[in-house]
Order: sequence, then structure tokens, then C-alpha cells
Amino acid sequence: MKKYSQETIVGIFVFIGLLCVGYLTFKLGKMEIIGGDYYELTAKFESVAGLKPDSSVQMAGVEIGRVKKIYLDTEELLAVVEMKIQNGVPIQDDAIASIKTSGLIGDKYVSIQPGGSDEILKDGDVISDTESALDIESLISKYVFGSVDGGNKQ
Amino acid sequence: MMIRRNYLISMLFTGALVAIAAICLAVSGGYVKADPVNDPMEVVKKSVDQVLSIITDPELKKPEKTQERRARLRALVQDLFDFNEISKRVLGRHWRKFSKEEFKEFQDLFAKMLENVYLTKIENYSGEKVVYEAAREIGKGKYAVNTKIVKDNLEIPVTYRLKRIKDKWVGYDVIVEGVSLVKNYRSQFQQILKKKSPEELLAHMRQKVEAMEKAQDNQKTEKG
Repeated sequence: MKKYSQETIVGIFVFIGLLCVGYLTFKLGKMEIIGGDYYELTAKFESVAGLKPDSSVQMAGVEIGRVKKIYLDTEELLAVVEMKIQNGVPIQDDAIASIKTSGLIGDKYVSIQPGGSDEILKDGDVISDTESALDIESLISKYVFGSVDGGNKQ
Repeated sequence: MMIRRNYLISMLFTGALVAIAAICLAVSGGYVKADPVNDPMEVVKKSVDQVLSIITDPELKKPEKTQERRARLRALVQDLFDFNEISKRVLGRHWRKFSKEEFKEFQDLFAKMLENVYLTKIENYSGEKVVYEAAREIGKGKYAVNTKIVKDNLEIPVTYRLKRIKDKWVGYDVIVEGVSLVKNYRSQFQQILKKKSPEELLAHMRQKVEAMEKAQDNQKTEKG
């Protein structure tokens, strides 16, 4: 009788342990991406240099989705990035998608700058205005185009 | 380093505003017959050819012709680019905060600011060639026309983005070395409009344009 109950207890612990492992697997494996609350958008870039599937898609520094798939359009020789964006985050027709680096040498991610257009992109639409992966890009853009505030530094 | 940087900027600005896609001068002629209004490629070619002819015209290079030269360049740029569209994009979602009059004033001031930043650079044109590459559709009613500014061994990619508005192809963005003009200014205006009202922004821009115009006038009197 005692032996039986000991095994039962061990069995129960093992079962609880497996449940915990299963829960962790689901949570860490980011299984919430599948199904659920997303719509898809596509963007084409001349270079995605290091962007990977499952890279982050951000707006104003907040993650609003993930990269689903990256492949080469063999006709136009451009990188096509398919993204899943959370429902409830509207992206305008004139939004600009750029590929940025987290910090200086961190992971690449897609940053979406909101536009002002009344047209909101729907599931399956394309973000037409994009900027490819660059180094120190905002420094360059300020440098090239001049600043609104500080006057022409060149 | 300073000298190279300024030179590089001159080239970039020359290309970005002035050279709106031209055929490489060595390969002139041989145009495929296309409707200039209905083909984004042709729209860009036409404008750039005209701009190049103005800045290479020895007659117009004379200092006394400055006003006329600038007026003609301005007209060409306004013909190719839709400043109403650019202004909307550059203000992003804040554009609705502007009243009709305020938005019109913003458009004018912004165009003046861009002109002030680029004009002197354009006038430093020194024989750069524009190579015309390809046009591709990037979205519904949107095209990207790819060009390159070439001088010696330096190549700078310049892309013009065009949109179909009222039966005409008009430019709404210029991408130089992969960096979008609209995105650059949009970031800056968004920063400002987070804290300031449209009127405050306009006041700030008015000041800036006045200062720029004064500086230009001083330059003229110095040279004259």
C-alpha cells in the first residue's frame, strides 16, 4: 500500500512538472503568434541586411508585430518582407517602413513611421514607401537634408 | 575631410532636387516614344532635361540672371513635385490640426525652406551626369523612378517617388542614398508638433525663412 502511494505521488509530481514544461514551451515559443489577432502587410526593400523571420516590427519604439517571412522577388530583385501586425494598430497608406538596428550592433528590426493619410492599409496590402537597411541613417538624413530647427550646419 | 564633405553634399543636393532623371548625356537621343504625361519615366526625364539645360546654360550662369534662373528652376520643381502632397506627408497625422490657411502657409514656407537649402547647392553643379535606370510600380498608382548621379568614380543613387494625382504623375518624395526626404522632415516636424501648436511652428518657420532671405540678400549685395 505504501509503495503504491509513493509512486502515485511521484507520478503526480512528474505530471505537474510536465505541465509546467508544456506551459513554458508555449509561452517562450511565442505560440500566440499563430492564429489570433493579426493582419498581414508586405513591404519591399532593396536590402534587408540581417533582418530575420520573427524579427520585431515596431512603431514609436513599441512592438506591434513580427516579421513572418522574407524572400527575394526574383523579377525585381528586391527583398519582400511579410509582416504580421496586431489588429487595432492602424497603418496609413503613406507610412514609411525602415529597417533599423537595435542600438549600434544589435538585431535588425522594422520600424514603421506613421503617416497622415486617411487611407488605412488592410490585410494583404503593401507598404509602398520603404527605406532599406542603413548605418547611422538618421545622422545621414540630417546631414544630407539639413535640419528644420538648428539651421544649415553645412 | 571638410572639403570632401561639402563637395559630397553639393553633389547630393544637385541630384536630389535638380536632376530629376535625365538620360546619360553620352547616350542622348533614342527616346522611346512615350506619352510624357502618362508615363512616370517620361515625366521625370522631361523635368530633369529642362533643369539640366537651365543650370548648364552659360547665359543663365551670370549673376544678374540669378533671379530669372531661380524663377525658372522653381517653376520646374513645382511642376514636377506636388507640394500639397509633400506637405501632408511631412506633417503626418498632425496635418489635420492645421486650418486651411495655416496649411497653405505651411506649404509656402516649407517650399521656401527647401529652396533655400538646395539652391546654392544646385548652383554648384559641375558636370555631374545623371544616369537613368528604371521605373517600377511600388503600389497602387505609385511609381519609383531610379536614377544615379555620376561624377568620376562616385555614384549616388537617387530615386523619385511619383503618385498619380488628377491624371498626372507628380513627385511626392526623393530618396537619396536610401534616405527619404519625407521621412527625414516628418520625424522633425512630429517632434516639434508634439509640443508646439501649428501657429507656433509657423511662427518659427517664418523667422527661419526671413533669416535665410536676409542672408541671401546680403550675399547678393556683397557680390554685386
